[in-house]
Amino acid sequence: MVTYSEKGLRLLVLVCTVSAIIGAIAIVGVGVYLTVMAIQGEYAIPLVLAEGLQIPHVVRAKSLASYLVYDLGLVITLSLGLSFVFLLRAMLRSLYRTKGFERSLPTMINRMGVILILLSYMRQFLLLHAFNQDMGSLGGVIDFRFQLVPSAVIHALVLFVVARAFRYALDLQHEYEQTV
Amino acid sequence: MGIIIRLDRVLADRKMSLTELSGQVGITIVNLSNLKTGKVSAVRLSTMEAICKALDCQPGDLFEYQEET
Repeated sequence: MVTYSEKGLRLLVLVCTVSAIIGAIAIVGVGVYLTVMAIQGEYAIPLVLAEGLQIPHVVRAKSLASYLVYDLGLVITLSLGLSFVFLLRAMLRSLYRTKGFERSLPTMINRMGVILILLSYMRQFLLLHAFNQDMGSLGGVIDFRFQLVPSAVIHALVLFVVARAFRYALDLQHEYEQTV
Repeated sequence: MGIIIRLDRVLADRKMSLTELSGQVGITIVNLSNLKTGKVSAVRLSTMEAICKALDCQPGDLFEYQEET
């Protein structure tokens, strides 16, 4: 049976674990921050930009309902991102823990692809929503255009192809295991 | 599948146990047991050669084809 270099995989798993823990703490932190802001009556909304989550205090929601819808969407988006990290971690773990490929590997990769697409559209909808709010001094400075096919979709398609390749590899592995 | 593996019959004729065969051909008992019970989908020619040598038989003695009804 072919073996993998465990050192590299272990390091990647460690990075994913740390990322997942920090990410989970960050989501809770953002949730608390948004709740406190809502209680204080300050509807400043964080922007999900390509560089990460930005909190410019000048962008404010027009109403509480708008603020809550945005916040809910934001927490869902961040949770989706976190679940992507969890899936990546599970995938890497399965690669060095089991000999060969695990049955659930293609499913995990497929899910990662779906999450990537969802993340991309959720982020765009959040920005669309934010740009319809009171942009304050940022109005006209930054621009946003909705992309029907964002680049993440291409990445997700690559993941779907990889999942398909893994499925085929699993079939080959099954055949190999059933050969005496 | 229409192919029936007659390893148990050949082993009985030679009065040999699966453990003895395993020791002679260098295949684990688990794999030989899987072969005996037909739980495998393919057999390597090298495996066949080793089994035939140990049991002094022909490949045809180990396999039988029965049409499925």
